[in-house]
Amino acid sequence: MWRDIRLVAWKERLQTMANKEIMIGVVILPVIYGIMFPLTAPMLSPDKNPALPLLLMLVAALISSIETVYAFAGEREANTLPTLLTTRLSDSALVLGKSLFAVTLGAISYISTILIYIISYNLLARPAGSPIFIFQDNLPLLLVYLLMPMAFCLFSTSIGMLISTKIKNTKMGAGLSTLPELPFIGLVAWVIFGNPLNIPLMLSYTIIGGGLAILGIAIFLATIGMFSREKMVLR
Amino acid sequence: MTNETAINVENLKRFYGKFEAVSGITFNVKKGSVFGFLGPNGAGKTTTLYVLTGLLKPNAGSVKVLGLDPGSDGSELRSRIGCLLEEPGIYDTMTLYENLLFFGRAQNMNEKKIRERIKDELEFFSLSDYSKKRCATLSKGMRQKAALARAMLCEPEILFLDEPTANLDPVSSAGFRDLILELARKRGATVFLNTHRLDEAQRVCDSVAIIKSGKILACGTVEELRKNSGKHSVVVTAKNISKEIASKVTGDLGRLSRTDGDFLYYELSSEERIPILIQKLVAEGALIYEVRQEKLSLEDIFIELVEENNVA
Repeated sequence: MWRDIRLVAWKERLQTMANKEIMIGVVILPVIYGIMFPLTAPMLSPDKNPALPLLLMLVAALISSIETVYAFAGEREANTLPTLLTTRLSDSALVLGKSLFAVTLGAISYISTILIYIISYNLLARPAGSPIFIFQDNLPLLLVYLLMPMAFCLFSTSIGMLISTKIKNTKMGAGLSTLPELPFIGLVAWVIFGNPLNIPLMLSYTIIGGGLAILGIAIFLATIGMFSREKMVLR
Repeated sequence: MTNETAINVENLKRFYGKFEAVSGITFNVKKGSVFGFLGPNGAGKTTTLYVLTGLLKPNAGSVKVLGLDPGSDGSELRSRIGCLLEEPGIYDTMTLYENLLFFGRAQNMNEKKIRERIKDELEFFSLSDYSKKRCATLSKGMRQKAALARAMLCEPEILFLDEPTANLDPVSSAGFRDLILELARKRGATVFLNTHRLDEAQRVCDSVAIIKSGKILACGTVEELRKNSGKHSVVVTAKNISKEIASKVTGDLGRLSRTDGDFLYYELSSEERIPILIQKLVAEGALIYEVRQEKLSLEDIFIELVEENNVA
């Protein structure tokens, strides 16, 4: 099973590397976010700027969404889907393989964003005397910056994958796969800013990150459960 | 070809909503044979092929492919078959080699075997020079060959082909037909060929089924279909006889369909009536130079069956 998942992910990688639309996004988004934020939001502590991880995780979410739109809808448009479905590969391997690559791509983009962010911050916005490594005094913050977007990436991929199995073409998917995630970003922002649960910020991030990851896994399982070769062929 | 059955279909029905695409069809395909599934567009050919490969579920009836139920044993069945559907289904942004590597791995072949088989297939289809090229750069004919190479990669026991020459020029089509025959004869694969190209089917198929509006109109070898059609064409080269007398002598033997100089074209209801016709012509003073039995083409049989079905 793991071999098949990796195989599908490998195929997705080869296809995506040749897809200019996606690759432009993968390169441009981290550059824009990584350079723009140190200039516009130099206060890096979540206590002072708690929305920053939320904004940065948009990169991962957007990249994963773009990739997942192409997962099945793209295959349908290219007339490769029926042939793919006549292979031995199981429904789970197809869904999880495509998802694995989308999550990986989102993660790579996000980590690139963070690296560009740190470099840009040091070059453009670091106040004199403050540490070069922005997480030096706050390692839990580093965890928030690493894990929270990953959880959201998993979540956005799961939604994108569910939608990709249900739609006819990538045009339909482009809007549909991103829009459902926006209310969740709003929800996360409300919990962080409004602090309605009256709990510490780091704990809020942990609960929300864990919740998103669990929700993402549940959506994956539902997508696999609802996956039907017959419907995929007839749609 | 053996007497073992590769595909067994009994009373298969498949609906799309209320529309009955396949209406209770029954047929068998022998192992190692080339089976032609013939019919006009919209006859139910692709639907049947999709049911056989487990992509669609039947609404009624039973289907066994290599002794397996495509619905419940889909994964195992799909590891033993190769498919070339209406579209080549190869990834344009990947190279030909990458495409073959992916599908070989997808069929659970071991890595060494995949690489050996890719080399063999590329040589067999004269595609070795294109292995590192992206498939988007290949011509239609080459893409079709590449798709067939992909379908044959895992040495399938059954090869399903859906209109494989639909997008090809006549020269490529002829080459493709030769390939299909070679695959069946040399490699012993069973070939299930969906086509509406009757000349192609007549050349390569051991047996055929003719389907229209979801119903099988006839099934068997081309020779069996000829016999069952009840028509025997005879061309008599004769002198010293008028068209009127040539027509009159037939009586209830059949009919004179047309004449062309000394050539008299008769359609008789059985082979046994040929000598009786000749005797009658001689009795009328005709000088017979040649009697030639013309075999009905698959196209003649097909058109007759489809027209009969339209009338019905």
